[in-house]
Amino acid sequence: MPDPALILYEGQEDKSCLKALLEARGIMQAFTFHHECGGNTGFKKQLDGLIAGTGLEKRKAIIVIGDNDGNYTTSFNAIKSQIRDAGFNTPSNPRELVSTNGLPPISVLMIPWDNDPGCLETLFLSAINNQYARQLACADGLIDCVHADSWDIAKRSKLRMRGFLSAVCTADPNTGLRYAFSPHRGTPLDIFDLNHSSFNNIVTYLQTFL
Amino acid sequence: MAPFGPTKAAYEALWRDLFFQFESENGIEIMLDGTPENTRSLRVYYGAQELTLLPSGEKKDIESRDSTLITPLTFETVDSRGTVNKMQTVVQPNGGITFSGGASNPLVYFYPASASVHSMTVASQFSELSKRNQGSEISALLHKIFPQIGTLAVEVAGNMPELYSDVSGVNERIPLGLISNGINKITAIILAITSHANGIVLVDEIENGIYYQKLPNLWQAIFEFCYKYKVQLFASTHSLECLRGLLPIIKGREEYFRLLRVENGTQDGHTVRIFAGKNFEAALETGVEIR
Repeated sequence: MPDPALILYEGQEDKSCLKALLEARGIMQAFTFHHECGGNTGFKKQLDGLIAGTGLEKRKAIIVIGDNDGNYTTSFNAIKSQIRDAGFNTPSNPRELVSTNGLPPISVLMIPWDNDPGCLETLFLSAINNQYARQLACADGLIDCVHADSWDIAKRSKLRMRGFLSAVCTADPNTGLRYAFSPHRGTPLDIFDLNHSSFNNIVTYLQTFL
Repeated sequence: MAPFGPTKAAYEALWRDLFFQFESENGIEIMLDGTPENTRSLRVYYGAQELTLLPSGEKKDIESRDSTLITPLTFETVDSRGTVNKMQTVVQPNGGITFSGGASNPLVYFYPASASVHSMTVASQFSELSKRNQGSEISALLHKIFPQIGTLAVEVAGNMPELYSDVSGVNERIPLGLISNGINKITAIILAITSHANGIVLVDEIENGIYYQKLPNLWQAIFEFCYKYKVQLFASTHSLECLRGLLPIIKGREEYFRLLRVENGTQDGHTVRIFAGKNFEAALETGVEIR
C-alpha cells in the first residue's frame, strides 16, 4: 500500500485552497501536502531535497501544481525544466504521469486548466457563491478604476481577489486567500462554491490517485 | 587500548560482533558495485595459518594457555584493477592492535562514539605537527572557535605526554581534556585529519560532547582541514542539530559532500543509500527528514 501522493505547490494560498477543495470533494485522504515551494521557481530545490529524504520511494506519486499565469507554454516548460534538472523523467503534457527508476512517478497539474491563462485566484474567482456577486462586481469596478484591464491576467486576478476578499471578510478585511477557509478569523465559510463545475476537471484528474 | 589477555579466545572476542549471528566461520563479504573505478570488495575472515602470534611475548607460558597460536583475522580487499591486498590484525605486546601485511596499509583513523582518544595519541599527533612548525594552525583554529584557548603545547606529567593549553585567566597551562571534552574532541578529530593526510577518518556520533552552537564551526574546521590534507571523513550522526550545523558549510560546496543513510530493509537486511551533495544540501535547506 503506497503512501499518499505528495503535492508540491507554489505558496500557502495554493495549499489552503486545494486542501479545502480536496476535503469538500472527499478525496483528501489520497494526498499529503509538502512544504511550500516559494513560487514557481522553487520546485527543483524541493525535489532535490525530497530525493534525499526518507520514504519518498513509498509515495504513490508526486504532483507538481503550478499556475499557467500569462503563458501556459512558458510556465509548463519552466516546471518541466526543474523536474528534469532534479533528475526525474519529464512529462510531455500536463497531468501525464511519468516514471523514473527508483523514484515515484511525477505529474504536473497546471492551473486553471490547459491553455487557460491565469492562476489559482483566477480559478477560485470563477467559483464564488452568488450571494457575493455584488462584492465581486465592486472588485471588478476596482479593476476599471485603477486601469488594470491591461494587466497580465494573473496579476489582475490577484487584485480582484484581494479587493473582493476585503469586501467580503468584514471582520478582518486583511484576510487573504490563504485564510479564506479559516473560520477563526470570522471569515464566512461559504465564499467559494467548492462543488462548482469549474473544479470538476481538476477533481477528476486528482481522483485518479485514489 | 587496554591489554585484554593474550589468548586466542580473547583475541577472537574482539572481533566476534563483526560477524552475522556472531558466527565467524562464514566470514564477511562486502561487494561495492559501481562505476569500474569504484567497484571493489572486502572479505574479512580467519584465514589459513598465514601468521601466528605469540601476543604476550612470553614464551614460557605457551603450553599453559588455551592457544597461543592465533589465526589472525584477515582483511582482504580487491580493488577495481583486481589487485588483492591482504592485511592481518596483529596484537602488540602492550595490547594494542595494528595491521600488518598488504601492499599498502590504508591511512584510516576511527574515533568511536563511546570512548575518548588516548591523550598520548593526541599529544603525539600534535607533536608531529609541531615539529613541522604547523602546531600554531591548530592553536589558531581552537582560539577562533573557543576564544579562551591560547597556545597549545605538549607537556609531560608523570612520564605521560599530554596536550596542554594556555587558558585566559589561569596562570598555568592545563590539560586540554580538563578544559572541555568538546574542545578535546574537536582537537582530536582535527589532529586525526592532519596525521592521516591522503587517508580516511571515521568519527562515530560526531556531535557527542559538542555544544550545538559550535557545530557549524566544527564542520567548517573539518572541511578546511580535510580539504588541505586530502582526507575523506566519514561522520555518523543521529542529530538534526548537527546536520543543520553543516548547512552553511555544504552550501556552494555540494560536490565535496555525500549523504550515506543506513536503512532497515524488510527482507534484504540493511542497505546503505548514497545521495549526492546537492540533494543532501537541498534536504537540509528545505527541512526534509533525512534520518
